[in-house]
Amino acid sequence: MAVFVVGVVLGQDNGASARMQRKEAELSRLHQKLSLVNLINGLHMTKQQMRKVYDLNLRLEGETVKQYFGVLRLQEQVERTWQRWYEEIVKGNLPKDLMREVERVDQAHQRCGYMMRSVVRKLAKELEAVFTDAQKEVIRTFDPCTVPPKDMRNPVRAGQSPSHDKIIKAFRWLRGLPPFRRAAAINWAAEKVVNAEDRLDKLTDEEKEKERQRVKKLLWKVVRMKDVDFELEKEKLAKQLVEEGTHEGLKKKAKELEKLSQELARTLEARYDPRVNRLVRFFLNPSVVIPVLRDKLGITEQVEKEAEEAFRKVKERLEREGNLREAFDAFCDVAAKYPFTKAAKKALDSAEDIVKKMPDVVSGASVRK
Amino acid sequence: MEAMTRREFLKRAGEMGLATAGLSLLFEVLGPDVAEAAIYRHRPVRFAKKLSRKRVQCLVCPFRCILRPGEISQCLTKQNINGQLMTHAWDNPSIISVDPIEKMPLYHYLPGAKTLTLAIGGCNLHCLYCQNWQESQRSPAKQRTVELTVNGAVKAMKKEDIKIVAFSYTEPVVFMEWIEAVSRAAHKKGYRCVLASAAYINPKPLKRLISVTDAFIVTLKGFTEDFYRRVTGASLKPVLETLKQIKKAKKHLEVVNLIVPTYNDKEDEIRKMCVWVRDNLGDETPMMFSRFVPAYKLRNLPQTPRKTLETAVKIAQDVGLKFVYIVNLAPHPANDTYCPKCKTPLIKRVGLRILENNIKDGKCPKCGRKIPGVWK
Repeated sequence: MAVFVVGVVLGQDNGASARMQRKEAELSRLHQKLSLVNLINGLHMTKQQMRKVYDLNLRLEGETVKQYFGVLRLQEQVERTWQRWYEEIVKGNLPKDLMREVERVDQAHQRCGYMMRSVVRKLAKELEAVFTDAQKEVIRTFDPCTVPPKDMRNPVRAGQSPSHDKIIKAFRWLRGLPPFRRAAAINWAAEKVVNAEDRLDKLTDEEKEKERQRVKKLLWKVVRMKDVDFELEKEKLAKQLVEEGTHEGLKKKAKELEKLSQELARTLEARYDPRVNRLVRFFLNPSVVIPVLRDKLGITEQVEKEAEEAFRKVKERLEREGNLREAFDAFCDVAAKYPFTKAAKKALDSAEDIVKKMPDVVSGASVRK
Repeated sequence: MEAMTRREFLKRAGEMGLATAGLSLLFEVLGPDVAEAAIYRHRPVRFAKKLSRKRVQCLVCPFRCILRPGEISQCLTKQNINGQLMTHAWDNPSIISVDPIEKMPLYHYLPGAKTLTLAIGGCNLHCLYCQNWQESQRSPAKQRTVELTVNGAVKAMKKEDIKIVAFSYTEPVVFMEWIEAVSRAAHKKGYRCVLASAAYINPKPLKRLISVTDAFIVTLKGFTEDFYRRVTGASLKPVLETLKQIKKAKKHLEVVNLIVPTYNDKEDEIRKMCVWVRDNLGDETPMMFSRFVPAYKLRNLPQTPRKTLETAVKIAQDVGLKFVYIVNLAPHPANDTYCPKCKTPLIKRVGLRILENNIKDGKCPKCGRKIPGVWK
């Protein structure tokens, strides 16, 4: 992503890699939407809960609109300075004046990121109150996905550990084989597991061999067990096969790290950081949550109509009265009230046009000197 | 493979030939069904009546099947073998599983405990939506089974450190002889026995089953004779009698009702059922509404809508039932146990997992109200 941003800044966004990254960003947005729908369905959220989450995201987006033009101006300053700096350092120069300016600009750029944090923190507390403990537990263990996991698709399995039915079926198949076919089948199965792991994590030859031996050992244990012992331990064995593998091992480690970072995040601000707080990551993300919840609540068309009407009124008033300052505020209101609609986009564009004509309508953020 | 001398080979071949000839003779003389029964282990059924012409009548459930020699009961576990009613359901469970007790679902009985859940194939009901029809609608002889003796079951419990043996997935009533044996052996070791049943059983066998069981979860499938006849092939009245008998015996009892869209989701019917539960089993009886998931012969129906389940909960609470739950739909606030007096959340669940259990000595920690159930 960083490469993409630099590429855009330096005007080289037309290369294949940049385009690919842009497409990937679009796909990522769609993936987030699919994942959120799966999560909402799996949580069996009530309409009231959805409405509350929707309103919180509207408030967050409203705050973002309020700060947008200030931040935009600041970003433009950053862009100009960085562009100049690029031109100098590429020639091998390190002009001191410019260096000091770049340092100031860097700090200001960091501030852009911090500006919304206090708002998010406040809203995150309210968001926590929307969900029940059981729902929070599901969110805590939810991994983004396009197809919902079995425990979410099938309410009978809700809240249970992931199903290992297919592995248990394979175990039964192995156990049912005549003894002279077992060795070949186990070798074949071990190879399949190793190949699957290799596709995911690119194992070294040594790791592959280690994994092969592990799987074989486990499968021989499975086929040699007594019927009753197998029935009692089948779930445990299936879990062992999956979770002790390299890929699942890495995933487990990543989750442990996430848990650790949550524990380390002692300050309130860090606790609500989307990187460590899944509730915030999944449900305080206006550009994804608002469109999805509008669809789930069945209000998309109605909101589009209302937004169009509001935009039309502001535009007509501007044409009639010509007061740019008032029109700017009114356009911002439309963008804040009906975000992610066609009218909101037009309203933001119109507000930007006004800023170009009358830069002093924007107050707020700038690079401190 | 081990090397074999010519003499050994000839000896083994001779033995195998004799065994094959013996088996075919058995099938020839006794007929396939009786021969099958002779091969599989079987035990006499206690509740049976001998009739004329070697016929026998099974007295376990209200169907009271009358069987001629060789015939198999409609629960697929019993057979008339030469004028004696025998059960094939012995030491041959098709399901052995370690489950949380919430899977039964039992919510007021040792929350979070593990159970060794056992099931032998066969069922006296033929519910159109059966979730385990592969096991329940086939005789034990015709499905994959595991040999598990009575002592083996108790040993397995000890090995896995499980204190409760549960009989679920299929209908325990049809293999009650084995349950009795396992449960008695388990009780001797200080373990407990719980049962999930549709309760379609006659009073006398039930009395015997009650004597070896610590807790029941009974599925009251609907509240009209028409529903029972159409969907389960049984009738409602004996089930209600069973519930009353369990209550009278002062055994722990919870009731679950699976709501099937368009079949038994009428509010009036649900209300009548809840009133009956309140009046006959008491308002403290935990009542659960379970979500239907398309299965077996009712795959054409949708899952039970969340709203229907919530309406059912509301009706039950309005009627005066104190502990009402939604199962098979999680997470949901109605998965949790609340104190009826001060509304404090007592047990928080997500699906089959316990998130929090605040019950102290069987009482609400806030107001001290006694919460019915077995907590330790």
